[in-house]
Amino acid sequence: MPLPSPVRPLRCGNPDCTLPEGGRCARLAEFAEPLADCPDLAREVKSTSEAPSTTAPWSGRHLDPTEADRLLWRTPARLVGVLGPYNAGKTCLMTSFFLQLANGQRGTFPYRFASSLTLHGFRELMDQAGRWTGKEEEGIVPHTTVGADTSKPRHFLHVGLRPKDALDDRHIDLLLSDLPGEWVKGWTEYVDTTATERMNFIRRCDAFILLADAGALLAREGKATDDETSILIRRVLESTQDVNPRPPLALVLSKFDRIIQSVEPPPPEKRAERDAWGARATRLRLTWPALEDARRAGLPIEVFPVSAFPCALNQGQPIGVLDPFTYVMKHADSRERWSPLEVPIPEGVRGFATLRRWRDEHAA
Amino acid sequence: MARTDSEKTPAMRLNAIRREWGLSAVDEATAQAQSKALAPLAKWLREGEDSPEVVIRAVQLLLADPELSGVDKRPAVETVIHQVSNLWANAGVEAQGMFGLQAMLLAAWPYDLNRGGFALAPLFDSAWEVMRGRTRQRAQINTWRQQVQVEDDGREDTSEIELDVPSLTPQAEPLTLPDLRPNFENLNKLRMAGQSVGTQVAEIISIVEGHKNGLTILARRLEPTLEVIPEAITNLVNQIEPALNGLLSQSRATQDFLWWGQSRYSQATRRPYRRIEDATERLWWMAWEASELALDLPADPAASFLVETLYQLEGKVDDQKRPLKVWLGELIPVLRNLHQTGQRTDTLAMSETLEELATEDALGLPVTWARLEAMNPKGQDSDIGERARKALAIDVDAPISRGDWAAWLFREALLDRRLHDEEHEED
Repeated sequence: MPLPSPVRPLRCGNPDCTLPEGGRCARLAEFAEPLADCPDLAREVKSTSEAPSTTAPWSGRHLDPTEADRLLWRTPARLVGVLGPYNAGKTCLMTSFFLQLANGQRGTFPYRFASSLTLHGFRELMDQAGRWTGKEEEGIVPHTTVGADTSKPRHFLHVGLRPKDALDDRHIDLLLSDLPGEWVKGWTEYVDTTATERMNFIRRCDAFILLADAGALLAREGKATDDETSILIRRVLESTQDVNPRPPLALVLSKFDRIIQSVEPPPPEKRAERDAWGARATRLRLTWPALEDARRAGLPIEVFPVSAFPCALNQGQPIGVLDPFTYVMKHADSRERWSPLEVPIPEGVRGFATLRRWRDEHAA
Repeated sequence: MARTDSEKTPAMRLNAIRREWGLSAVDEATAQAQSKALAPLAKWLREGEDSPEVVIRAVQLLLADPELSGVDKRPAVETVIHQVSNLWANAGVEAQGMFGLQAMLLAAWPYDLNRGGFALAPLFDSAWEVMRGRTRQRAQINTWRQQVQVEDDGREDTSEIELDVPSLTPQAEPLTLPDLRPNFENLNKLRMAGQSVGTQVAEIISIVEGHKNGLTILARRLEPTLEVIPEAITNLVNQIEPALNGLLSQSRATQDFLWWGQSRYSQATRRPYRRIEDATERLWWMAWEASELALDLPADPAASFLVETLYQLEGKVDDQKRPLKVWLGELIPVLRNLHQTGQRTDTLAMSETLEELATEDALGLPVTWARLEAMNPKGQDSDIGERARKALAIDVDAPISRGDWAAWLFREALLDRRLHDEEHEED
């Protein structure tokens, strides 16, 4: 009867045998193929049912609503609704965010990358983005499609975060919605019940990042974009009117690199003020009133000029991508922060304590 | 009228929590499976009335931040998961994940029980005060905290005593007596007729004679009732006595506690508290001795009284806040010193139940953990902050005042004493 196929790691009872370590069989003279025939070699062949599965319990691609629900049952994950019309740059923003985070370029974002259930999904987006040569007419990432199976769409990206504070030992799950612009449009326009039902997650959202193409919005002929953006803001406001605490809303003016020559953004602390944008603000005839209504209703609002892919990946860095995420997470993960412990330094002390005093004085 | 939380069924409460925590609505089959899965959890929780360790583990599970790394692997949490995981798996409910488990626990909590082990739940109040974040859960947890705060203060409620007094109404046919009224009209006629007194007496006797039967019947009927009266009185006394004793003991405990607060004298160290120079040691003895006197008193007012007494002794107790780890860092060496020098170590002995539970997992029990550290002959006083962070799974950087720390010491000492009492009652 033929011996079962050997499995690694091998073990051999013969003290002269070095085959398991990559050497030679002590009974090589007896067996032409000792690996297959030598009876001294210990072989364990596990039945297929006992073998551990090599498949992860998740696909690694975008999560479907059921998978997202399961995650939301397991942890108080922060769900951020990334919404905007078709071609506003939603997927580009998330891809760029992930690239920066995974690369350790956290900037002011007080978290570091810890895990992702949708790594494969991100990788596909990154691969595509990596092939982009920088030409405007080329797509940076594939457009998020409606897909053939609309009953079970996969439109959530996941990032696991760890706070930068070394004493904060939490793992925070962040879910980002990555929806086709057509769905967002269908939802804002109350097309049908399906359009509303597939956006039911909106009520659970901890924060919103709304995108509008800066070039289209601030251009003379940007009326349609202005209209779309204002309707989207009002729809979010309406859908979250009984949500408490009020979710923050970050309005991202995407692809800002394309208009940076003609529009200089106001300083960060004034970007949410209409007057700070000067004459350009008059082009946002509907968007500004919608933002002001949302603010009056209690939603924290901020505006961010962002450029997720100002040039090809190997030629430059994104601009302002982490800022809207920092802003929404400040609200979505709000915790009381304790001031650091002040230990008084005795007068006349030497050594490390002196260095600490020097540091404290210079920091002040 | 809308139902209060405690009136809702576990399944209704779970649905309400799901809505509040933003979880999507489940289909009917899942809802039924979840209702089924809640039953074993509710059954296990109800055991908490007689098994305090159930309540302690359940409160620890709720205290745990679901986002904390490795929190679902902690023994306190695994104990709860172990109770339900098989049954849940059969019902198709996911037992993984702290967030959902906490929702299930809040839904299945037996809000109608507040005696026995459930009276221990409010003693974790100090730990809740340092809870950070958990925005989505906070409202629901606060509601739960308010409901478990309805504490059984150990006082006999006399309004609820039902006295077992036998009925004194004879169980017989209604008594029909002959007319016992003397015929005064006849008497008057006799007097008017000027008859002799002797005649009048004879007449009266004859009237009484005529009613003899009636009186005999009355006496016979009263006889059994009169026999029952002493028994009824004995029963009444037996029933009133414990209630009165309870009230008297309560009154005595209150009086002792007030006297302690006024005298500010430490029986354990045999000197006034003001003579105990070490502030940490002074605070420890105050909290420890106060807990002994407040064993049968409501915990929250007693904790407040302790802080007021501390204020009388030391002045401001709320102005300077320090991280919990700093308080712990001071407490452990003091307790270790007390333990090593043999000063009243008998009073520092911990209840077996608490020692066992806290040795396995001291989540949310910093004072108990500090006592265990102090009793450990191999214990170290270095890296207390880091070790406390791992052992307690609560925010050890949370700044708390000396008054709040005193209340924390008191509550955990009381928890220990109540468990100790429970063990000795069982013996």
